[in-house]
Amino acid sequence: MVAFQPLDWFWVGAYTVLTVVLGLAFYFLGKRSAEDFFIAGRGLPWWLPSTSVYATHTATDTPIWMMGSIYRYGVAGIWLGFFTAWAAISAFVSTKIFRRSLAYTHAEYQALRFGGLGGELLRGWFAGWQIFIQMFILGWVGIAMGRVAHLAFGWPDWVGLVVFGLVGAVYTIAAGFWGAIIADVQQGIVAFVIIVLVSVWGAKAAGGIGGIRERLAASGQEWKLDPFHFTGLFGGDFSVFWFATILLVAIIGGIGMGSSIDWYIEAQRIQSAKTVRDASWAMWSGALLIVVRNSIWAVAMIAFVALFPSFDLADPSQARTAELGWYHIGFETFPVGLVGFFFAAILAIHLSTVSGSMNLGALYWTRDIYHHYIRPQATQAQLVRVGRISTGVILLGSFVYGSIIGNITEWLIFALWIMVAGVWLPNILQVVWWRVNAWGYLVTWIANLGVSWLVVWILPALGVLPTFHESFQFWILMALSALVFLPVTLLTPPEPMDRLVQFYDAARPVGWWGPVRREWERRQRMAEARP
Amino acid sequence: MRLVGEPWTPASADRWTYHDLIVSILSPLAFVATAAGSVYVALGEARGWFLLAAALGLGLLIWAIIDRKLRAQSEAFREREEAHKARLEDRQTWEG
Repeated sequence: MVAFQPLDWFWVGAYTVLTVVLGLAFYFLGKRSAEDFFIAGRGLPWWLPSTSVYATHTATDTPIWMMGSIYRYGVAGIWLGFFTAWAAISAFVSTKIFRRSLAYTHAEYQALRFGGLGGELLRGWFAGWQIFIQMFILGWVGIAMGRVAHLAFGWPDWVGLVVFGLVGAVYTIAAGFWGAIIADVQQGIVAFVIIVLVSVWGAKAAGGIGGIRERLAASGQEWKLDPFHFTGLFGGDFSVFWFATILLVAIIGGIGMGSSIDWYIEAQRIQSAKTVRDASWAMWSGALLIVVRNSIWAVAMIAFVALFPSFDLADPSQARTAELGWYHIGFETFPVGLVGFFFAAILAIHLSTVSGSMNLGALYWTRDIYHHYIRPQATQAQLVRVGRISTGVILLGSFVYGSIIGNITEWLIFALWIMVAGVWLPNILQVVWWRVNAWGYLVTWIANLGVSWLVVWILPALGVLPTFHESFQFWILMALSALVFLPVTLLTPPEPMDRLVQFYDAARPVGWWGPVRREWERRQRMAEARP
Repeated sequence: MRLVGEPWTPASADRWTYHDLIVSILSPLAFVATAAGSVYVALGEARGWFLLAAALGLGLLIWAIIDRKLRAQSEAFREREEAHKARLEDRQTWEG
């Protein structure tokens, strides 16, 4: 428990008021149209979505899982957070294609890329899936916030989940994406400042970098200072093979769309950028900032390892304490005043994620379900109203998920993993190969659900297969899904050429689009020759 | 085609060229160098500065190669964006 002084409470109160007021200030912009409420009217310069990319992916649970990785693998644990590098290639490939498609969401993109019933089924599937996932993310980070508030004040976990979720809801419901993204800027700056400060204070508490080195050497863990320390070529928890797989999944995955779970929230930021160029640099710089953040974070975390080197991570209660190491450093080493600023910064970290996920979940409901299927003739005012109501409903749903998350976490991590592994290849090929059709993509998604259960859980439980490490799971799931994806794609007809030409005309995809490009060029020549 | 300073037109910028390929190779290298470089610097190791300098150099090179092309692509898309937007809304409301 932390003893807060009046100055500390001042920081927390002042920061909460500042965040809410700043968000509310954009009420009038947010209510102008659905385009404003969800993608800021497609008018943002690159640095706004860039800061938002970084701020949204700096959540209260991030230092918890990262602390667990650093405690286990040393600073080499930063590579487990390197999935964000999908934007390294995406910024110059899939980001541009998606921005030019003008789709509000990944679900809507499906209906533009694919035609007919298949495209609509994919749109409905992705919309439903993302509404569910955003509720889950909100519940997940809400409970993480609850654990932090419990650590600081002894409050029950639900307080962090509910109270701070409601604070974020005030300005997200009022001003939509405008409120969220403007708040993200100040939240991102505050978060970055505190991450640096905790690392400085943490290193100081452990006797500086030299002290960290000495302490780790004394406990026989000096290897934890090596960012390229692996457990073997293929063996162990953190092998070279796993490292190479992470790099490949992230970097090559950037060619595609949806090949990282971050894609869905970034897609909204891509569309909010005012030009294709702004979208590209926003993704590139935002992801790079996350990479830098992870490295700075690692210093405070390795300082915690040096100070407390003997936690047994196999013991759940000790693992729980170790995972909160970054928060321990802040709460226990900062002086009066700064500890209040620390908690205010934790609020910033939390609210940026909460507001982004609420608005994104509401976007999928409003744009892909309500407007497209339920009320196509809805006015802009009605769409904004539905956006606001669904923002609140998404938050309420997250309270339910948050309250049962201890029981479903393993299943949900699995759910997130299958979004990446089994459909990684189709997610790339649907961008770069004209021949991919809705049925191949849809059937692979469905097959992936079954195959993943078999490979990850059921067959190992029956003793038919061993329990594979994630690195091997990835390659097995990818290969098995390719065995479904390629035959179904090639045995079913391609999308109608009219649809593909329309898509090409807007999005200008790259890769194997030769037949479509030639048809598009032919139609262009015919249009120019027409008197 | 020059690697840096190519006078892009909207039509030429919309094509995939070797410039896109080069930045797609350099960019992941810049990310890896940034990750390793910044953690080494934070841990007080001099080699981190070399890696960060390399990352910065790669970043500037990427910018020099691709930014003009991105500007031209943005310009090209801006000319047709409104028409696509109208078509998007028609499809959204089942009229397209």
